[in-house]
Amino acid sequence: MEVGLNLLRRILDKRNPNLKALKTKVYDVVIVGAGISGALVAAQLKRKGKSVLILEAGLDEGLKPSSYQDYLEHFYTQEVKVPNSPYPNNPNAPQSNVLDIQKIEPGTPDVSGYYVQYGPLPFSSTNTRAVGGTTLHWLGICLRMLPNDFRMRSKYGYGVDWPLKYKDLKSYYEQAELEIGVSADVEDLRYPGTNSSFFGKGYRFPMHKIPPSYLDQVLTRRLKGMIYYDQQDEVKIDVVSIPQGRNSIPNKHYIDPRTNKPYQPVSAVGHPHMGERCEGNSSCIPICPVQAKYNALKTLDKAVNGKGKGRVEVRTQCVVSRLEIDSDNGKIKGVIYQHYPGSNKERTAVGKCYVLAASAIENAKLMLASGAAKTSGQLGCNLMDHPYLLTWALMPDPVGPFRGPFSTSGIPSFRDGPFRKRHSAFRTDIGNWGWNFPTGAPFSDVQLMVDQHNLFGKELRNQLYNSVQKQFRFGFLIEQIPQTSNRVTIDPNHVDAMGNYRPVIYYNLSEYELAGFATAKSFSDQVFQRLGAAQFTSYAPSDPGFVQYEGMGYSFHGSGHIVGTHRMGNHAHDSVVSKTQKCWDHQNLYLVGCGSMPTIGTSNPTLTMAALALQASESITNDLR
Amino acid sequence: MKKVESPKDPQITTLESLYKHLQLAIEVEHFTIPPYLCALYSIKDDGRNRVAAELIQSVVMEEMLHMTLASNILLAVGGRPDLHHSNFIPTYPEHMPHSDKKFTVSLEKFSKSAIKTFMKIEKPETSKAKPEAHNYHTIAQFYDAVLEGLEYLCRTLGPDKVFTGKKHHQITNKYYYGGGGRVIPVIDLKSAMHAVEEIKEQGEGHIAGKSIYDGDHKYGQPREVAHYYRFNEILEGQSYAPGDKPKKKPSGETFKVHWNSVYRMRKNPKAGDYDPGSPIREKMDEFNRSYTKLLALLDHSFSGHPSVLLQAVQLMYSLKYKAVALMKIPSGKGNTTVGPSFEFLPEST
Amino acid sequence: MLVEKMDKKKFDNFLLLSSKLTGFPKLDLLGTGLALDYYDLVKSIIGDTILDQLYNAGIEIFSKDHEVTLEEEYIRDKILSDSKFGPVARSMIKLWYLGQWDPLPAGWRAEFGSHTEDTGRIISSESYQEGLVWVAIAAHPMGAKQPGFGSWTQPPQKDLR
Repeated sequence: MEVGLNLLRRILDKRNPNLKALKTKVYDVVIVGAGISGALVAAQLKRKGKSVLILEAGLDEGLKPSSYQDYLEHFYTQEVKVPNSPYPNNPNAPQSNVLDIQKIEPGTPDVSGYYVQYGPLPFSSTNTRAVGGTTLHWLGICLRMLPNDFRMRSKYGYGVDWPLKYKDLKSYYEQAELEIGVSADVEDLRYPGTNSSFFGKGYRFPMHKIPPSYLDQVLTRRLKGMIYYDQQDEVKIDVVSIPQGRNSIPNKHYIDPRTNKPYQPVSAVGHPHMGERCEGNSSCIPICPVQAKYNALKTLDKAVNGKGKGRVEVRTQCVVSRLEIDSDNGKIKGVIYQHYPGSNKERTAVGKCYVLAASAIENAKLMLASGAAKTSGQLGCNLMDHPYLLTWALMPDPVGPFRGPFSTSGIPSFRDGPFRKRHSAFRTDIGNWGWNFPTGAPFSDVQLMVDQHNLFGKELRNQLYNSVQKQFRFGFLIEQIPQTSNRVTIDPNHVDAMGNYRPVIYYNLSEYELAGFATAKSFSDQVFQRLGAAQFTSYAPSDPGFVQYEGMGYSFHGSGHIVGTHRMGNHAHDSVVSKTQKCWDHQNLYLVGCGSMPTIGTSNPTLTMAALALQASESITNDLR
Repeated sequence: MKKVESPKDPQITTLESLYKHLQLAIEVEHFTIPPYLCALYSIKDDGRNRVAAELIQSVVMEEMLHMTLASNILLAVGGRPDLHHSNFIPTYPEHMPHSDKKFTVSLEKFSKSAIKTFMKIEKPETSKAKPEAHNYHTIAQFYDAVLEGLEYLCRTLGPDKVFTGKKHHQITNKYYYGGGGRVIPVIDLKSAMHAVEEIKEQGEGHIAGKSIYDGDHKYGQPREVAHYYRFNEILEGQSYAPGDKPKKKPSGETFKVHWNSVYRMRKNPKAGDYDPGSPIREKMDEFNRSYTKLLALLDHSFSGHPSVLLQAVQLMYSLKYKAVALMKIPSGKGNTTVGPSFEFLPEST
Repeated sequence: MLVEKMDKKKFDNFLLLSSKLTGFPKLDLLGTGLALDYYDLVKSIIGDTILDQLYNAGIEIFSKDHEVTLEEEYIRDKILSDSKFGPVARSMIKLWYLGQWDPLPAGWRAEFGSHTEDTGRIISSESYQEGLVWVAIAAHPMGAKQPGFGSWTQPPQKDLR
């Protein structure tokens, strides 16, 4: 952390603290948050000729190539390379960190990190408060939700139904896949319960799939024909390429509607030729050195510098503390914020329309701090993540780990099916980086072999090769069902250095998810048997995410998916926003982001969030007419 | 010293002559790559010369593009590029081909004198002197001859008899990525001229000598200054600003160049300087074998197997890391390091 | 800076010992560009006296022409099992492999003295990238030395270089 503070000081020292007061210019739209949602909305509004102000709490480091390089250098020297390791923590806009996650003692909240955690289980996902947001460290996986994910209540009796169907979002998914730049081949994608209408006839992705890893190829061969019996339900096991926002070979048949020419991969911001393909850096999380992985800096760059009749301004180091609300009609009159470094003077930004795009927890926090959206009682509630279960083993032969993206293929077979009446659906990542996530390999292997196994010299070298080369692991993203008791709230006793609320979190898992854990583990065990792989999975009661179910223990991690805190619905009495993410209680306010999602399904939520943001942009544009 | 053979005809009137010229073009573009790479790889990765390193890197990428474009043209007119032969790599120090033997080029570390040599290589065409019987005065004259030859042959033989190569053999941006620009598949006279223009303009500038910019914005690339001026930016420690004129100094942002922040690579190293079987000799041979293999892969991919380019790119990365390691190893000869020697060494040796 | 001849001898010995301990040839260690930095670091942590003793122990083992297995036994007996040299040697191995210094055990510091440089950290961004572990497992440092698009589809490399 010390090194992070030095980096932060260096950055702030270069800044000119004299910010000209924003005269009360009235923008068309004021957006809070320069992450992917904010960037997408801003870019769309610019095309429609609107004036946009984006207020971002964090720093703008990523936008200049040299400063992105600073992130990279910082990352190299971090001993524990957690998702936020390249991005220094900023006391003015503090963010959560995986290293802060601990077991929670009943009755005593864990206050060691940015979150104040009452538990009983620690909420284990983090986000990034900087220009570009969490897409700086995200993995890049771009999966659409499945049709049944939108109707969990009516189909399976769990969770809630969305006010939307899959087919309502389909065209927005296509647009999002273009905006992000997703690599996949439709003919390789197979999901349970879907048919050719899922993507539609002739649909193509802008780029071809990321080539499958050697490990994927081994598993594809060895798991061919495998069937898992989930009680009486047959689950056919399938290894399928994963669509991702990562540059690959462009599809020459995909004509970009924005240019009317074949799609060109979008390179790194400020670096016209870098990042046109994934170069196999194997560090997607926490940072892609060449920006072959999509990050919101690319959309922001377009929003600020690209074509369009409108105008987009980004102001960084501006922390929003609350919204000013007209007590007569509930409309938002302004956004109150403070700029740092410098005085804590409160300033106001005014727009005709307002968008909160600060991520699910921050959005809810801001709304609560403003006394907003009280009608439904759902604000801050239904916080969800994908609890991530890891299992790991040694294959009989070397499989070439620590190469390529985090995951190039997965097993989608449990994403949907009749078993959802009994337990969570889940998605399976095939991990390409050996045991890096569960054990800290290969560093941990060196330490073990030198300190415990007493190896040195050529023997050490050979043993490292023979052992690490066989490492492989699964990651299971378990669907979490919404519960009002899983929530974010605020407490005046817990504020940060600028006096803004810290999120106070209550979080737990239900039997539905734990039963999903049990199925995932049992499936994993069977796969290892079939592969002849030696199981090394172990869960310790001292792990922060340790839970017990039916006599077995499991440890889960966060997936970095923060969802549900201002969900959409058909009625103001049980949801915070409408299906276009407009706030029921405040007609000129939109809450855009994963917080609007009523259920999480088994897909990484960013693509859905992007589709929803594009849909919301249309509604906002209409409002401004 | 190996001589780059010039074709006998000053003007190209036959396909054979065209093939010879284009093969020569590939060799000429390759000529600059090992020297530029040595300068680039000798720069320490301590962040103090980031701007200079990126400038050199961008030039290298464009030279590789030129090689690829020349090869595309050669393929398109029914010829076959030949990159995997012992004369393909020059024996440095070597005279720059078609430069009237005015200066030699060496494999050496990043330094002011190296950059000045690079500027001589890239100097824009202002010579009005006619090309002489076996020699061109500048690279631009050389490419002018190629252009004239293509037009002549299309006029006299008909385009169908000239552009006989298979379209799917062309290198496209499917497998060629990451810099230099958009690669142009050559299928007819227009695209061939396009390709030659891109080579000329990236090297010497649009309207050579009259503008500092390359013509890249025509090809959908951001505006960049031509190679000669990029090297001048390094020498001056200052970028050109929009509106700057060729004969004036750059007036844009300044940047620091730490000339001492380099690995002290020996000038023009040779594997033969070290005893066979010695550890340093083995490391140099390993590099040279890999480099030779790279030429074989490029040869294969440029001859109708574009997908092999992916393997070639992977080998290029691996070579970079080997070269940098050689840059760090003390040579035992004065206070210098070994450095890569870029010599032809087929696998079986 | 290696000014004295004696200092150069000690550096050469350090390099040779590092080579035996890591299983990598000396030239590979020199190719990281960090040999001198690591020598300086270890020297500052253990001090000149212990460095001299380590040097002498090394001379004893390496100046004679031992069979490989015998040499390995000597290294085990005289260095890795030694209460003074063992922890230092192990931290040296980890330094080369990971670019990270693992502090000496409390017991060692109590007996032989402690030094401010003896803190656990990654030495520099270069040391992270030059860690030998990545070569040993036929991969590349995560986030650096990218191998190129599609490289991950190939079977694992058997050649450990």
